[in-house]
Amino acid sequence: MKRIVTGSLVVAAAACAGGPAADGRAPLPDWRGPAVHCRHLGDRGLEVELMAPTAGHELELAGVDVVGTCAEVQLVHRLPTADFVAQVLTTQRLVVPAERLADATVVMLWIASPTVDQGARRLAITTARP
Amino acid sequence: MNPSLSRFSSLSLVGFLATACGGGGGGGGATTATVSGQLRLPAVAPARLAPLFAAEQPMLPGEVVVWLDATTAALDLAVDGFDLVRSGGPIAVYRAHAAAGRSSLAEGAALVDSVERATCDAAAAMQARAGVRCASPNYLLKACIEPNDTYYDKQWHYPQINLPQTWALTQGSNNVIVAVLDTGIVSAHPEFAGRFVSGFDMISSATAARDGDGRDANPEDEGDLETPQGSSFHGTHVAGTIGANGNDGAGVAGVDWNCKLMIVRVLGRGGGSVDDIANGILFAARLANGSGQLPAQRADVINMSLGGPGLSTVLEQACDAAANAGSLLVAAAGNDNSSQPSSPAAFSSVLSVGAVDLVRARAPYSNFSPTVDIWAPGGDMTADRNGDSFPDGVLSCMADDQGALFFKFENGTSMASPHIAGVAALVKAANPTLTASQIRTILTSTTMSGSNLPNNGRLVDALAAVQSALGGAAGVPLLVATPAAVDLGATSTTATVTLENRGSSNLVFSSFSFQPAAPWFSGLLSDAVASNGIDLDSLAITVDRAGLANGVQQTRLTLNYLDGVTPVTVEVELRLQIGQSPASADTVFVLLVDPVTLEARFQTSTADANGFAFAMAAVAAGDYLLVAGTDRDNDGLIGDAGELFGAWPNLDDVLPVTVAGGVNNVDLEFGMQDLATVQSAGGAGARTFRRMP
Repeated sequence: MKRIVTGSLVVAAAACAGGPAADGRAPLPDWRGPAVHCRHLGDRGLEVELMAPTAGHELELAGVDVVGTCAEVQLVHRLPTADFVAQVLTTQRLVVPAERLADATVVMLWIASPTVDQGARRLAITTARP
Repeated sequence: MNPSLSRFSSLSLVGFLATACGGGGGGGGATTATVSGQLRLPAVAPARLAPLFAAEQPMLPGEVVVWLDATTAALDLAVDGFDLVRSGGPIAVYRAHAAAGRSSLAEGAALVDSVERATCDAAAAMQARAGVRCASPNYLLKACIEPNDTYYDKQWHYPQINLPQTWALTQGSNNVIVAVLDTGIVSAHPEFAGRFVSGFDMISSATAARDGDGRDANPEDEGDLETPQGSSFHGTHVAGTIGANGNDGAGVAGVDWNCKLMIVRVLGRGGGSVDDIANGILFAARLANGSGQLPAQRADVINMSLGGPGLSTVLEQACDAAANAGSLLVAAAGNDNSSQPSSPAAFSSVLSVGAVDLVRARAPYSNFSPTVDIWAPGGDMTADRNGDSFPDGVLSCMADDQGALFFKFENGTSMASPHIAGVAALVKAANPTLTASQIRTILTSTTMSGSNLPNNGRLVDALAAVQSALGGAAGVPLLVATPAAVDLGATSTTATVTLENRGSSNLVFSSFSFQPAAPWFSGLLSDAVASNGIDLDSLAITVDRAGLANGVQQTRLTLNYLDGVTPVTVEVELRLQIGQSPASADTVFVLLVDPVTLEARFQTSTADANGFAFAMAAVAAGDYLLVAGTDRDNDGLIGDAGELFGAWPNLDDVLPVTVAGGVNNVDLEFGMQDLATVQSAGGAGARTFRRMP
């Protein structure tokens, strides 16, 4: 499943950087945290969902950087702070408003999480914007 | 690969990329090619079989119960072969002449010549009459109770652990108390009417509790604001699985319909602390605790659908003390898809519960530490494997922050644990003299096979546990088929079903029948006795796919046994798929996509009418992504949720397709998946492609 995103990324990264990088390679998705997916909304916003394994997780929109036709969405995933939490799968959902994405045609979702490389941001999804 | 994806049926797309113009090539040749092939749709979920009259189920021979239309009075049908026995309201009971004078199954008749079969035939004939809404043999419903709760048919997780048979033996007792250590309760939910004993709110932080104070005697769930969309009301869901009122004609059923629920609120906003949970355990066990309060009676079972990393010694002490006091502690094994133990489940004094999905396999999230003691249904909402159009979650009670009361599917080991707590309560009800330790031994020694559960794990069997509590078999033959549904998919030709007599009588195989007829099936029944003395038959199923038409073949196999007094029957659903599925109304778009711009450069569409064949001619040289999918929502994008989608060579390893000179025929093969389920597993949002107008 990850590699289909890879295929898309070839394009997305090129669009974001104004063309392929010097070595001809695009950033590859390397998010290894809880499952994430997104969908484009009718108002051109983007809904992002993180399927947390338990209660107590949080997903926060830290910012959106729009460069040319590419929007880089910065998300922060936080772990439960309590000692014990309910053991139910929980959907953490947020919407990136359409105006934050401006006229971008490609959206890259970056997530920083303490569960992945001590909080370094990782690329989860690149998606073409309808 | 995400393990949750490996279970999805895939759609194979086989194609060619063949250059139309020979020669040329390399870097500068203006070569074109033709892309062609054929599509097959993925397997569809099994359709539900219409209910049939089963001649082998206990009935009053010859009697047919009829529900008449409102405008129809009891009919005089003597000339048609039916005598009116009695009537009242819309229901009338007739005795069928056709069923008289024949042998019954109990007398050794063959099924086809039995009074029971004749009664079924009479019921079918009666049902076809004008003025009759429905008709049925006058069955004696003893051996199995299907509760009449509105949404019970969505609660697949109860038949999975043989609860319908168990409810024929016990439905619980109000002398048994189950403590629910969780987020509290929405007590107004009608499924809990009359079910509570005094509980406690053990959350010491007013902020976490959101009720304006620290510990108090009111365990009402004030909401944990778990997500931006609202609170979880997790405790209400868990309590509903343990003990929602059953067979009350509304809502859902719980495992135990009569036990008392002691709600101990220990999880608030953000979760819970060792301090609050340890004191909650002590309270439930009627031991001295930080609240200074004690319940009137100790809980027999304490459910904890919660967990955390590490092994807190304070919490372990509390668990040990409660177990020593006589409570059985049950906890969720955790959802980290990990072999690491978590507390409190991993403590030796706690029964640790892992989660299985609808097909008895480990749910993809469930922890699988060797400390997991037993497995129970926790669901997997990324799948709909029974084809009921709902995710395979556990259905139970729910509320929202606006006060609405309803029902919701959830999944997690949080959902598995209350199944065990509920069954433990049924065991206690069946035999009140049992200690917590004895109940634990019964639960873990009467288990049944799962599907390759880790560490030789086994699934709870409510019927076997309650029977054991009752001192053995219940005095009647009880036949259980495992599994009760066999899906041979698109390629398998063999399967094995185990038939186990859980009752006291000796059962002798009599006959079998199909509805509808299934000449593609053959079976070999072997007789054996298990090491525990239980009569055990094994049915080896073989199917012959040759000559079968494309589509889904499905039948219900009924195996008939006799014990000299009572006919006993068990049903097994069989299903297989041949070739293309009948879910073929889709138009499938096949795209060659520019890997730089993600724009479709070449496109064709195909459908069932042309065998899902496709062809794209005059494809220009270059690199492309080859994708195919449906656009069911007609939004111009393929790859949306709820649509079929695939890419070459497969969704896990997408590579560019190169069209170049000298390449005359490149075999391309890739699978497609149903994104309705795949997307729930994550990552699918990146796969939308705009098709050409």
